[in-house]
Amino acid sequence: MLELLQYQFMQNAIVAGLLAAIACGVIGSYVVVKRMVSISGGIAHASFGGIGLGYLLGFNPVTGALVFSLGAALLMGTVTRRTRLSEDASIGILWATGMALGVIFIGLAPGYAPDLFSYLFGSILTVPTSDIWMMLVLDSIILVVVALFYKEFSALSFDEEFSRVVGVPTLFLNLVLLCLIALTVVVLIRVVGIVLVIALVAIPASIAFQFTRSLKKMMLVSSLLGAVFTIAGLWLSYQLDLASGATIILVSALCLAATLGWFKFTRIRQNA
Amino acid sequence: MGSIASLSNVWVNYNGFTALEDVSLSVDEQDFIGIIGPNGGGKSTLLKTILGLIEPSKGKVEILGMPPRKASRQVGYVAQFQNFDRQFPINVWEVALMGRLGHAGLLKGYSAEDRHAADEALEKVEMAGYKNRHISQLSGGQQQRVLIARALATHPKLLLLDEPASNVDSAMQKGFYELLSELNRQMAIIMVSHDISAVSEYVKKVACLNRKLYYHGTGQLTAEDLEATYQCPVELIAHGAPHRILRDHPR
Repeated sequence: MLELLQYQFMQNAIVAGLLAAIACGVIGSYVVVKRMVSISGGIAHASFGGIGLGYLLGFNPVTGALVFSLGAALLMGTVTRRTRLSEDASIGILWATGMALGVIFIGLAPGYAPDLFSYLFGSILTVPTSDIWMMLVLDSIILVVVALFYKEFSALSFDEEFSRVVGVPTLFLNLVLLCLIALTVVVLIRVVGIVLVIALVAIPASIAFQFTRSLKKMMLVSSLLGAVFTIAGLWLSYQLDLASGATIILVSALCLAATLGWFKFTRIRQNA
Repeated sequence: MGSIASLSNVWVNYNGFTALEDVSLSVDEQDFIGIIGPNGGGKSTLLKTILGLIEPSKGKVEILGMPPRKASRQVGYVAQFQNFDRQFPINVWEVALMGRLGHAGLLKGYSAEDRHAADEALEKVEMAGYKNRHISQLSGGQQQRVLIARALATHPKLLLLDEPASNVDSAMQKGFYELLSELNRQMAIIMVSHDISAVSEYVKKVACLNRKLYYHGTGQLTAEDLEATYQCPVELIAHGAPHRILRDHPR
């Protein structure tokens, strides 16, 4: 592994994994405690429309994904409040409509669509340096906004109604939080791909949720876990010649299963 | 006595369903009003209308001489406990501080004054020794006290409680209601409850709500009020309690 570190692609992969871990740890914690996993899945899949548009018009597909995921986040945040469409239905509809747009755009684009698979399922070994910079900027935005609104986001997640009563602008902050989820999706696309993003958002935070009793600790622990999972997945996929994104997710899922099993086991032993 | 809240001829409709029909209510300083009524009778809707969370379709609501949305920072609200995730990663201190969100404002941390208010509120409900406890480590009664502390941290002139005792085990209920009576010296209280007997002992006035509000501004209920509210004959039982909601009645 060590001699691999001299290669640019491996350095990029590790930096990408660490940047992904920060986003999924901080925002994943809100997603898990505020029960927004399905919304995050919807935003992630809807961003495929932007990938397709990038291919069609010849700009960086990740930029397209950024625009589409932000659009999907804002739509999901407003449609359910302004119409009689349920949140559940709007998630499913935006999810599939975004994917459909992507398929149509790619179909219209001339010639073959290279790397399409890597946007869907991730390809941490081929992250270009330009995307690393983009991930760094998005991570910084996420951290600054969370630091600015930390007490409001936490209150909103615990008890939205009370927050509104004491004068917190809940409508606006909900939209901001959804936009941060959209940015997280974009940070993670290169690492695990649109289809698998939802797992990297949910799994580290769900493990941290089992044994942390404060939101800040939960964010810290899930970021560390995210880093361990992406690096371990990267190493395993390299050794066993498996798809990197899928390997990262499977490593995470196995750790979650082991954590749940361990807690079950120790509880039974305590009660015995 | 100053008027804390007044509702005049308030109607609330949702999707063609009338939740509140021509409700008028006036709340003065030192009032402790118990509101009883069947499930779906509009009890929670009434509280949310007072808080400005629900807009009435007709009628006028004035809280502390202001529209409800403006006044709601000076109204303490304790919602039904079922609304919370008890596993949420938050401790007692953080919950109490939430009451100061409106005072602290956006983009700023909690000030020394905010911390002091949260401290004081926790002391008032005798939970100051539990600041670092996670909410799941508390009993139902203690959790409810913390939520009351959060409402008190706003320094309210009016406290709204929605089924506050539903999560408090019966051995603790007496102490819980005594706490409310004590708080009532500093603020008006409206308490929604299923528990007619608890209401009868501790509140000063009683109203029955089943879309329409039956209220006479006294602590006494009539058989007619209860029948109109629950839409079935209700047997009246007089309690030998300090406050009596039901008149003595011939056998």
